[in-house]
Amino acid sequence: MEEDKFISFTERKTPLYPSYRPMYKVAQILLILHYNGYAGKASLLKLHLFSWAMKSYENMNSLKEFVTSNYEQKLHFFGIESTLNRALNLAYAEKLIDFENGSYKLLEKGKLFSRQLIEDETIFVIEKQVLKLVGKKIPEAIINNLVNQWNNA
Amino acid sequence: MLKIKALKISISTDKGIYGTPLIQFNDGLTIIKGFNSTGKSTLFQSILYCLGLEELIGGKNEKTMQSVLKSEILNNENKIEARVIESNILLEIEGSTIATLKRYISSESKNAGLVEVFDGPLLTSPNQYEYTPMYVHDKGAADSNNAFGFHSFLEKLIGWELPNVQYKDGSQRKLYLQNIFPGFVIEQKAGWSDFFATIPYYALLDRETRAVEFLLNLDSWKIQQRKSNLKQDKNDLILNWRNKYTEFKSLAQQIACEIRGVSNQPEIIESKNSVYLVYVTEEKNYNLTEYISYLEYEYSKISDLEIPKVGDQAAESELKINHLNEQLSQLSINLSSVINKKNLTISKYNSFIERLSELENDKVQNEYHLKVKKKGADQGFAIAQDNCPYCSQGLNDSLLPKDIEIVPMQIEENLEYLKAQINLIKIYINNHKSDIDNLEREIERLNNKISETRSNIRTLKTQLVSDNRMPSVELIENRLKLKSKLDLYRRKYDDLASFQEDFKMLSDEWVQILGEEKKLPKSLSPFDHKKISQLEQSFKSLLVNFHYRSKSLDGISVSLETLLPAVEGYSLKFDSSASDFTRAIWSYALALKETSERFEGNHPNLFILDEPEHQDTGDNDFHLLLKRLGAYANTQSIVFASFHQTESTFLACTKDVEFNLIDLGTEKFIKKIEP
Repeated sequence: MEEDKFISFTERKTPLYPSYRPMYKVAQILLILHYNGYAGKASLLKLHLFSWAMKSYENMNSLKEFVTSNYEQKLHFFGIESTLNRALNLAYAEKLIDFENGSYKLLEKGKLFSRQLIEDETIFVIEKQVLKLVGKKIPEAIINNLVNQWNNA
Repeated sequence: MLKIKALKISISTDKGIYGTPLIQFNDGLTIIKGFNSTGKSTLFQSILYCLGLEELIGGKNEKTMQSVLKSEILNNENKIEARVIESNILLEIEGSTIATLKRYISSESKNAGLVEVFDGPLLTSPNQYEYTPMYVHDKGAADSNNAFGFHSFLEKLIGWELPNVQYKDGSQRKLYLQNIFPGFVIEQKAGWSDFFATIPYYALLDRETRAVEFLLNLDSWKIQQRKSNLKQDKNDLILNWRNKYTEFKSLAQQIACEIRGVSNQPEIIESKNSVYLVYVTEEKNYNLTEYISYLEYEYSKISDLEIPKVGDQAAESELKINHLNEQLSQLSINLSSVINKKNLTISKYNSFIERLSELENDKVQNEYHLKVKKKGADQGFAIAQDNCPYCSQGLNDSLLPKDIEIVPMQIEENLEYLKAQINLIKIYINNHKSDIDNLEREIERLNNKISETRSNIRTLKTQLVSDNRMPSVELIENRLKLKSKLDLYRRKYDDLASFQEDFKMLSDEWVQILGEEKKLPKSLSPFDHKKISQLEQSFKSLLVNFHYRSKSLDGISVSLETLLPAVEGYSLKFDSSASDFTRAIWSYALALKETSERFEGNHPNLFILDEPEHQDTGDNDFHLLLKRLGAYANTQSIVFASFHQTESTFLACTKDVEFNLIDLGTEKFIKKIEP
């Protein structure tokens, strides 16, 4: 007997981690440039390092230990995600940041917004504490060293 | 009520005494007119400084003040003319009484945190008045128990009684004066940038709202207070209940009983007797009284028996031992399987706990995202509105590459999803927790049973190896055991009665707290609603009066949540042009006073406005503002303005306005005072 058989699917929406959300990531980028960049500037790798740290409290702790142990505690690994690059593109298009000489830099509009983010005490509470604590204590040279070690390993 | 009566600045320099003449303020509107840099701001700041409110201009003590008062005096060509040795300001004010305040800015001997309070009109009617030294910005300066705190003096003088409010650290402390004054003392730089813009940071929740609540004397803060007290009582009761329950549980454990009619959470108990203990056996559940009479019956049975000799019982004892041994091994097997089960449940429980903390973390981050996105949208960012700034195509609120074909949840939906997950996990956790409790109880029961069986076996074995002619120990021992058990249960039965009473009492308290909680209005009383709708009405009519145009009036309201003006839930600031926003601040400040006056609120009927026409508001509307201020009866207004430094603007703005003029002229107002 011939019978038409259908299986039908209903497409469900998927939950998504906040770090895959554009505004969330862009806000993090601005905070990183503010707290951790020299004169509001940072390289792509540096942004990746901090963006990885802000993904979880575990990561944040590893980064904190790395700095407080005077870089002796090994930071074994940090992740690199294409989503950050996409967020950087968006922030650039929004004229929040600029790209010059290989590093990203806060523009006036970005500075203004990052100030708003900092003033609001209800958001990124722990994140801001850690970023502030780490501050500018991770120069680009140290990040480059880390990456070189991985390359040679 | 608070009135500024007179002001005088004196500066000792290396070139002699400098300062201002005596400046007197009338009731009603006073306009202080002067060219730029003649000293208008110095006068404005001096008033605030004497009131210990210099935090409104951003800082504490002398740091906030202009250099003319602390380092050097410039002449009209801006060259240094003299160096400051010591300077002070005198301010005469009137509230419930008249007092004159003296505060030093630069002085070798006097601390800038010191205010000398003379109890009389020292400036307008000089005499030898008694004075008291008081302190500002000291810990306790605002504390009314401290007789020398200047702000608690000022509070009394104005006739205020400031409420305790909740700070971010959870503590309840007094609302500060600095939190209220920005509603009617508006400074030229930051003051016109937002409603209550110059409230200093005091880790206070919803500071602007607290200030409005106070000025209008709303019931809402009392309700808030009552609520937080009730919450405290509730927490205390929950704690007491838990402690009581733990004690009760240990009582139940001592006599191997289970609790009925009460749990570790407060609940409503109908009568004392609905709380009781039961003794559970395989055949039957006894309540405590039943079990005691059962024990009594058993004991009387065993007491009547004649004690047999060991020899008579040998065969029977051996059978008994075998039987008990079997029972013992069965019990051991049961015990180990229950222990395994418990460990398994614990490990599941732990993994749920871990998952819960992950989810909660996720929820926090999602909430951050929601807030950040709203901020971005307020700034008009395309990405915050899910648009790609390059191609204006939809972004889907996702950073994943376009070729991954998933449709992510919108953030609000995502949050709901997480909340549902968290609730589910919490249910799992609770279920597992009660499973663990049950298993633990089972382990306890088995252990007791095992040791009892062992001891029985031991007694029988001892008996088997003793002389055949001795009386059987078993029966004697059983008799003793039963007797002591009976005594224990009788004693604990008395304890039970006191627990029943305690639980009933706690439950009654619980019912009372719940009842009071029900009775409280949500946050605003009906009278509050009346005041707020009056505030909204007069705010809107003032907006019309001052020609506000940015938004249609229909969308504008006073938020019942923040008590501040809003357009469809957003701050008015984002939707108004700069000059219109200044008009809105005028209107709101005036509306607060008018509403407070109508309902006898706490507004001191005072305005001190520094350059209110700072923005491009237009002379015509500024004229309307002055006219309104001038027409108020019983309200003192002091307005500092330059009128674009032209006489014609001044005349246009003050046409038909009732006012007193203090004209600072075109040159520096602080001059050498000829002896």
